[in-house]
Amino acid sequence: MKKSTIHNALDLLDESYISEGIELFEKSLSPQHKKKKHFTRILWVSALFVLVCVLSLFPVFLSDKSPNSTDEARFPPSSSHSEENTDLSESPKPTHYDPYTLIDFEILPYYGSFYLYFPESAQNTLQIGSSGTGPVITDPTILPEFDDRTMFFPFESVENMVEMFTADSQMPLWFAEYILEHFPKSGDMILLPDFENIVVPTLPQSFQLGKAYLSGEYYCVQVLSDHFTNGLFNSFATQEEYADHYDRFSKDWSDDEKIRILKTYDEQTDGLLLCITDYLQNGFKYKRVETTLTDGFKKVHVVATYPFPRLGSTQPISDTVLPQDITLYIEDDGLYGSIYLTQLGKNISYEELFAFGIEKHTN
Amino acid sequence: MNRLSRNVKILDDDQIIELFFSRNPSAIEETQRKYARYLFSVARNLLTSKEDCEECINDTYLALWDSIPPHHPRSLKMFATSILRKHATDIYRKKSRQKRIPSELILSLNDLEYCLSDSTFSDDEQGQKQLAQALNTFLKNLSKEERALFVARYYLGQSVADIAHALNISTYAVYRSLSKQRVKLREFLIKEGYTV
Repeated sequence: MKKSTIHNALDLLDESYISEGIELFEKSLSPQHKKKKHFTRILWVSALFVLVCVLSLFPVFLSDKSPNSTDEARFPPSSSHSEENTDLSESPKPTHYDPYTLIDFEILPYYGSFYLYFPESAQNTLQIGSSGTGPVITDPTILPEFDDRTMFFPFESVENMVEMFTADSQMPLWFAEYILEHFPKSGDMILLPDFENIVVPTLPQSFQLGKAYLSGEYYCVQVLSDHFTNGLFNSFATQEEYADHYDRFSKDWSDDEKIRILKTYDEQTDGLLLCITDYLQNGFKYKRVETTLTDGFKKVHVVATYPFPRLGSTQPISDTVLPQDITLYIEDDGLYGSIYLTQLGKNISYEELFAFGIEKHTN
Repeated sequence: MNRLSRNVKILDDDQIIELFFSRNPSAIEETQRKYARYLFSVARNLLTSKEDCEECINDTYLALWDSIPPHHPRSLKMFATSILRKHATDIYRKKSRQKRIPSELILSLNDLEYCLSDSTFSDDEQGQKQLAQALNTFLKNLSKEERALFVARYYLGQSVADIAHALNISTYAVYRSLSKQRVKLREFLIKEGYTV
């Protein structure tokens, strides 16, 4: 059944039912509701402000340098700044994980925050994201849970980055200019003041992702997004289509680089397909899923290799026991990775996962 | 600005419709004054770009102008919502060749699509009517709150987070309720012989 059919059928719903829905919809637009939201924002902003004050004092305690020289180190003059950063490929590769350096904080008037992050672990990669409906970022050492607006963008130079943004028509020029103006060093993070006005660039298609990666020109182009995974899986109407897609990926990507969507698929009705995509700064990495059928149980063992230095090289994520009534406990680090459970080749969203009683445990 | 807008009298639906009937261009202005914010919020759920939303709303105003008269809607808001949904779909389709982030509505329809995947409704007009009839019967048996949730999510494309805020419950609870609804819907369709 086509979406358009459902859409049109919904247009024929009883008017009284629609008005009930509109009533609920308008509740979220009501000034009272907004006030509540606004109050929450104020709370978060206050917390953020306190944090900024504490952080701004922190380097003074740690070094012998005066506050002025510290500031210089954190905010290099713009002329040498751009020179220093236009060729980031020459900067030394990080060997360890450091907390992010905060270079600019704005008091955000909006719920949630929009940020740019230049991960040290993946140089020349710009991460654009927001904490979405979550709180503003109060601790720069902890990235917020990624949402559908979080994207990674590769760039070779500042110019290249701006070109990319402006070529992608949905990215306004002022935004690119803003980045130029505040262009930070790798490892820096910027919070943008105006979350609402930023239009997230268009979603790169999955095959473009693969090509961009393989070309060697980019570190990665990644989209952290439910939409992405939905887009990836929902487009497969049949198991065959899915397999075909998977094959094409297998051909186009080298063993170490390709997205591993490992699957175990039982043709019978209790068949279960566990798809795991892993999106880290350095690219999609290997994850292994083993499913063993025992008496009424499926044991799913998930192992992930994280390139992210903080997490080490190879780290088992979980031993998961999956009873036949589909109660699955998945443990992961809570920061990266999205786990999609697909039954009979059909995508099951998070809400379905919840409905199955699946809970996510974060260490 | 808020102070100014407080002093402007907002007309009720009947008065605005009257303006449409007398072919008074201020009908659009009054509609805009009363419903612009609401329509933008709905459009935002259906389309991802601000420009598209604005285009869609402008199309909606124009369509209202063209269709009233002869139509005399009982609720201007509902009538405008229905028109806006149609225009939003057109815009979405028109631009569907571009790479786009699916809108909230598309995401919600994905879930419903999955739920209805085995149903026997055809994709023609007849199938749409049958499905609408089935949905109306299904909704009739739900509580008012459940119906509102269904319509807000699938008709208006409201995000789960916004619904959760409106109801003052967790997003998890909304996810669960929606999921339960879809299970119920599926059971209902099977019972009524609509699903193979």
